Amino acid sequence: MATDIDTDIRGKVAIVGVGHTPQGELPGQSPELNSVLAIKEALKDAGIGREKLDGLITCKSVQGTNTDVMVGPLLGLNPRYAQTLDYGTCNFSLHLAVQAILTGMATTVALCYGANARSIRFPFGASSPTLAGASGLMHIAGPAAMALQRHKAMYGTTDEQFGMIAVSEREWAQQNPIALFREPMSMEQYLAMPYMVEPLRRADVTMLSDGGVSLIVTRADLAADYPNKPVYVLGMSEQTGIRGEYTPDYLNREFLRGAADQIWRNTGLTTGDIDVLYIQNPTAVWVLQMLEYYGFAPPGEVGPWLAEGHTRPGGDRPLNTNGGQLSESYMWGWLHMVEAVRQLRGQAGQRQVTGAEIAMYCSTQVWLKGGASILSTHN
Amino acid sequence: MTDQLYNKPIPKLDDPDMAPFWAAAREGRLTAQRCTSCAALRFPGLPICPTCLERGSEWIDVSTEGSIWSYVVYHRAFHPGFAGELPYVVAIVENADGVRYTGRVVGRREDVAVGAKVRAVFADETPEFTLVKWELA
Repeated sequence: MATDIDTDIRGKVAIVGVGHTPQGELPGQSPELNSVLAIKEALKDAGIGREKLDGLITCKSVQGTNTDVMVGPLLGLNPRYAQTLDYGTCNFSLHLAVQAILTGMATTVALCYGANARSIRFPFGASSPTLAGASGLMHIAGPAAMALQRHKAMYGTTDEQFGMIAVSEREWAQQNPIALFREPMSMEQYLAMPYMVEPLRRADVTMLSDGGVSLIVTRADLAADYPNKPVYVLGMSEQTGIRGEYTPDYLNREFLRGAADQIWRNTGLTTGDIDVLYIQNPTAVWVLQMLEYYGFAPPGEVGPWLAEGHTRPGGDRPLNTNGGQLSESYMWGWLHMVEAVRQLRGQAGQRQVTGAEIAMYCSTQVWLKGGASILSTHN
Repeated sequence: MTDQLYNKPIPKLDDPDMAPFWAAAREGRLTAQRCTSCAALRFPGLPICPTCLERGSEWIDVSTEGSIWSYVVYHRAFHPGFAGELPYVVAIVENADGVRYTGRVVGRREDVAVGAKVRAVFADETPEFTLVKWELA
């Protein structure tokens, strides 16, 4: 007789360490070096030596390096388990770590991401040899702007409503010492900026930076031995749209609803339970879409909802309290997860959200995959 | 000579999945790939039908009439070849047969809108390469 698979992951895995390098321009430092420097910081935060690690999950750099076998030599470790994700965004990386830990393939896993895209001047203008590329559609801003223009046409979303995402992240960043963009940016200043790829302005798109980020993840029953308050994984979900442009409205990323439905169903939680929300954002369009698909704003009405100021410091829906990728740093969303852990531990300094007990992080691999995690200091 | 002066990206014209499309564009025809088993249309070309997983296909002429699903206006050139064309408009167009193409929109920028009617035009960019663009209908 078949036995049911145990799908209850709630509270069985914990994040016990976070670390990162300085952000910005780190000339001469490879993605692998930045990864290992970040792992060193995360190990320090977790109060352990690297010999405790029996797993490593790396996330590729934008140029495709930073694989596990490239990080291994610098880390000086042959862990039992090692794996590499193309675009981990920390979410997919965390999910893989949970799977490895719950199946006994690893006990304590370091997750890492490393980038040097800024100092090597990574060429985002490179286009694919396609009809779209030959027509001048290039850079993530192109497809993102296409989705925003469609949203504006369907729902009447305005520049000022949409601009609240960038303005709100800048307000949070002003309280974050590691954020790269901290100078004030009012809505008037935002609206006065020229378009880059209309309807997107420069401030709606992340700026390349170098750096590394790491998390240490372990079995919940071992987490009490670590110096910091463990942050437990309460739930996780993924949904793909890997058919890409062969799904007609692929840029609307409707598949994200699948990731949303699963995580709410699996955890029994609702949007009202989330104290601090993180949404990975190479462009602000990702925030616009995910606020709707995950149910934080009514479908089609995220524009007016944003204008009400919920996401700003002091608002009732604190969002990307690190400043997000628009104002803190590039890092593919990895620092969103670090910030979620710091908020839950009560270590977020001036920008600490009072009583933050449950955090959620939503991310995507462009228009191809989506994932979400819900974290808490309570299991 | 023209080839050397053309400094924008040129698609792989001999890509086995796409060569018939570029050859047809050269002749002023808009085409899509049709599955010889289930007749589903697809674009860009693929070596197998994602609807029925059969490999047989043919390229057929499709409607040059369409409407704009969405569009963007580039005010910055991420590739030096486009610097002289700023600002330029790129749209996703759905043609009357339901096939979607990403391409440049030519004409008055003020008239470009989601839902606007467009028709395909064929611009000879080099002696070998013709780009499908869209003009407002």
